[in-house]
Amino acid sequence: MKKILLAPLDPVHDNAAKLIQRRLSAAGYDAVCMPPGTTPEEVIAQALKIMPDVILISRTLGYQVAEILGHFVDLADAAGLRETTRLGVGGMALTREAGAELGFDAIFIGDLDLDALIAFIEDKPNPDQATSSDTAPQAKPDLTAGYTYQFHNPQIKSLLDGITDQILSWAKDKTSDGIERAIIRAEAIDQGIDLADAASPIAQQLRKRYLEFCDPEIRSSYLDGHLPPGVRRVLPSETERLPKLLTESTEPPHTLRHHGSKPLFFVQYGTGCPVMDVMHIRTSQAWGADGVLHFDPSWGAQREGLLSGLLSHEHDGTILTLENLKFINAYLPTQTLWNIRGHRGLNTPETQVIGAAAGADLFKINIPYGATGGGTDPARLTVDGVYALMLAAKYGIPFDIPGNDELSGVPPHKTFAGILIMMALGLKLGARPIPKPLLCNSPYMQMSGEMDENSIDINAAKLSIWREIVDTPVWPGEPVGFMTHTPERVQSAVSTAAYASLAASLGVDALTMASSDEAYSKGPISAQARVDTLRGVREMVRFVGNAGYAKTSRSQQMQERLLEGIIATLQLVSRRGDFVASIYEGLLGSPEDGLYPGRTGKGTVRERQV
Amino acid sequence: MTRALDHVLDALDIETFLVCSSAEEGRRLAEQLMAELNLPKGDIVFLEYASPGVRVRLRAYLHRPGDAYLWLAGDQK
Amino acid sequence: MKVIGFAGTAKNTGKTTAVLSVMDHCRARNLRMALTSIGFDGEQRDTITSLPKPRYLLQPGDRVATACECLEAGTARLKVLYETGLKTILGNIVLAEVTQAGMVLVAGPNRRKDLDSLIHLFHEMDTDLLLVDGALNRLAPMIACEGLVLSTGAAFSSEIERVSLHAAQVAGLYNLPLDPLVEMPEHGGCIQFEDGSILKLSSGSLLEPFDLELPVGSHVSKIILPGLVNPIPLQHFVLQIQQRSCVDASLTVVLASPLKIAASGHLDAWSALMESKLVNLKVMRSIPLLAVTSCPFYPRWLHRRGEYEPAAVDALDLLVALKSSIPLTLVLDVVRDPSPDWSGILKLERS
Repeated sequence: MKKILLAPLDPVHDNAAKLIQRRLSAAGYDAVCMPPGTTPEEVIAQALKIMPDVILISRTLGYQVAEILGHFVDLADAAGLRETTRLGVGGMALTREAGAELGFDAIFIGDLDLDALIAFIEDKPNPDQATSSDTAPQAKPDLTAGYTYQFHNPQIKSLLDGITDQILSWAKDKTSDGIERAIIRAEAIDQGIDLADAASPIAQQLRKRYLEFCDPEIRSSYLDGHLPPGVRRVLPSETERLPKLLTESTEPPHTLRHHGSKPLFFVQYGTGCPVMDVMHIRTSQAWGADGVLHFDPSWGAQREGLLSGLLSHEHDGTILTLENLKFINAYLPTQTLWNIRGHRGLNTPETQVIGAAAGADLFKINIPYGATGGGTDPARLTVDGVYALMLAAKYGIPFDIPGNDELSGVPPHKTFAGILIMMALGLKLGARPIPKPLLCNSPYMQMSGEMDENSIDINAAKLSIWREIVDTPVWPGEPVGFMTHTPERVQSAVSTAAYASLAASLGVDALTMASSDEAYSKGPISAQARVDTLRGVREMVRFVGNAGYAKTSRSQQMQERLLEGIIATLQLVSRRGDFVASIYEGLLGSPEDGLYPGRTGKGTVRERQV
Repeated sequence: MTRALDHVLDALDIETFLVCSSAEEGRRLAEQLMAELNLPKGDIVFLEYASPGVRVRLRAYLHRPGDAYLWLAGDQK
Repeated sequence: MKVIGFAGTAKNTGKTTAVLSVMDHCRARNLRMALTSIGFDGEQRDTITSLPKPRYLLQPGDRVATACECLEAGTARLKVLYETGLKTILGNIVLAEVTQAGMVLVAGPNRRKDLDSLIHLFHEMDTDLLLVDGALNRLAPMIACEGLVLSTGAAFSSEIERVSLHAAQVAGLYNLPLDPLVEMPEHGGCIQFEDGSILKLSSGSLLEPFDLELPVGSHVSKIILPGLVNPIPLQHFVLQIQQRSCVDASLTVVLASPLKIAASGHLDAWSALMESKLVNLKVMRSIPLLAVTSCPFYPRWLHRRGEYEPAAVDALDLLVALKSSIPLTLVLDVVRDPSPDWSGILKLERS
């Protein structure tokens, strides 16, 4: 058994040393801790008696402390201890350079990392500093693993069966320009052809076919190189220095989880510039984000066809091009999950194609949400959405279903009914769905007063209801705490952290979180705003730890009402016998709720020609 | 690469508390502070008054998405 | 090859400045130089005080032993000659040669054993002089060197009298007589009797009061303690032996080296012990104290601001005080006299 001698070398504080002693003893070491106020010479005298394998000193670096620590190291050398005993130091304000100057063999900075400490005691390489060549890359986590998607509520299952049969039967013989483009794009990718390649005759042929299904603005970008306003090509000089900048860090990322492997924490990005995106993704990952979601500008959903090339955009949202996605993916940390928002209006099917080609791990598709508000015509998005789900199934990429139509004022039971229809539709097509209830102070919540007394009851109900209905992963978003944020960063980070800890304690599989710039509208999200919220979430998740929020009877009642509302909504849609008409007619969210059917691409669905 | 400002990834935030007697005065002082600090196109992200002053967060974007990022040249010697 | 150590009585006493002065001198004489540090040197700002520091500007052909992570951190271009396998916090130590002039950061061996190994490696190479920069107040590894330059000054204490008294106490240790006959295991202590017999002690160090069962009337000739010794328990120990045995008024105590005595601290108590004539102190091994450098600079701690600011005592007052307190040792202020005859001081011979 290895002997460890711990000493605070501090007149008062010995908490850190005692904590480490406790942890090391639990890990099977013979750890002895000296009291606070011990002098360097007393530590050496004790060490000469017990001859430890390692001496660990805990001391905050401050005025004249360096000399004390240097004196300690010198005493150890003079006593001959350094032949047999290795010296480690930890404490606030220390740096690795200071540790080297003081002459220690190891330094421990920041929170207690027991693995690193044990690696030092055992004289093995620090697991956190192992290079990628030392360890085989691990598979990315699969959010749907272990879930059977068995419905526990037969009434809901039966209603969904009927509704989805109707959707599939309706969409069976229909197509759109979006689907045709997806077919051509997939053909090009399968053959390894760049649609914009001017020199290749096959590319020329495919491009000609592709552009027949595009809007004039997109066509012009391929034919004349003319880009929409505010869009420009990223220069090689802007990308070539990035690798050096991003390969230098060997620091392990922080983790936001206090225990266990769930939930996974996602953040959204889409600064407009893929180079800036890479920096934001790497920053988020370094501070604990497990996954990222790609956001593109809304105008991209309103045009037939996707641009080509590595493009930067002056405003929010990074343009969906195969090249932009591939560029971002190339800098994605190996363990980071990557979600591409799939329901991209008129480009929904093609987005799955380029997303899969660029290496996406997850898609995001919700027809009722995408076909309302300022979105796409319900008929068009239903045809394209069904095709997109088939692609998701074909590529084996799970898709999540955000319930953000709540933001317009839709009550959660209607939103959830729409999510359930999408789940059943995806399952029928062989895809793996993930429902994404929105935790928010939505207009409906403000009107109904359901969050007046507290913010926990209704949101706990919105999280717990899923597994009452079906065996499924749950991923609240998007982001949690929507409409609770203000531009004040502490309030904003605390609100996100509170929602995140509620969701984490209720056993969700993942959650999407905002930055503390969520409610700031006059500029892009800053890197520090991402860090602040990630830090806030880490602290709150740690605070709750393996404890949790106890469900109240009020919350249970809310959950029961929610279930009744879902069933009633599904019954209405089922009775209507026409999913697309149900959206037009507001059964899943009406103008009275604040929701209108989308209009982009109206009248563009046509029968498939055999 | 000499200026630390070139290393600001995107936005520079300044957090402070200004002694003043109203939100309006606080706003004026915040704007004046940005001018004194020579912050181009600064903005007040957050400002809240309660006697004796305002809690304020000021922001200037040194690199907006799509700009020529000076931090990209950071390792050039 | 000559190996010179540059130790300090505290941080910021001018070790690096002294090394730079030696380097300038030797470069003008085309000596092949190598540099290492038992700590971390060459950074722009002090790792502890954040105040600006003198930096190492090396020229093509200079050699350096430094940790891997320092190779890319400076502006000099370095070619790695040999990977030593010696570990530091900043990675393993490599021997490198400067191929393009520039600043270097130096983090070398932090313990005596590793410094020994490194010196051995440099002996195999074509090098005239190895300069070993110290760290803080650390002294123990420097015993591996052949000569020592000690830096002291206001960073040790801003009271000039304390600096000069301390310098006198330290310098006194380097004048202790040698007991070269001692052939002992490195860290075991023992008591030698006049009849030639030996009583082994459990440790070569003496840091706490220690009771020894010694037959009354034993004739002790000397105590040998090659480890770390605190003068106060030593005094008790000697008195205990004197009570039980027939020894001269002054008992011979052989310690490891002046560096280990200084490393133990308690210089006031050591001085008092030596003056008391209770013991006759000797050392097993010594190292010549070639010069003492005087540095008026010190980092002043500002409690209110929680930071350091640069400050200084009067340079001439300090120099004069040091010269008078250690008249037998050469005292230099390398800032006031930037070109001392280091060849003579360090007894360098062109190889």
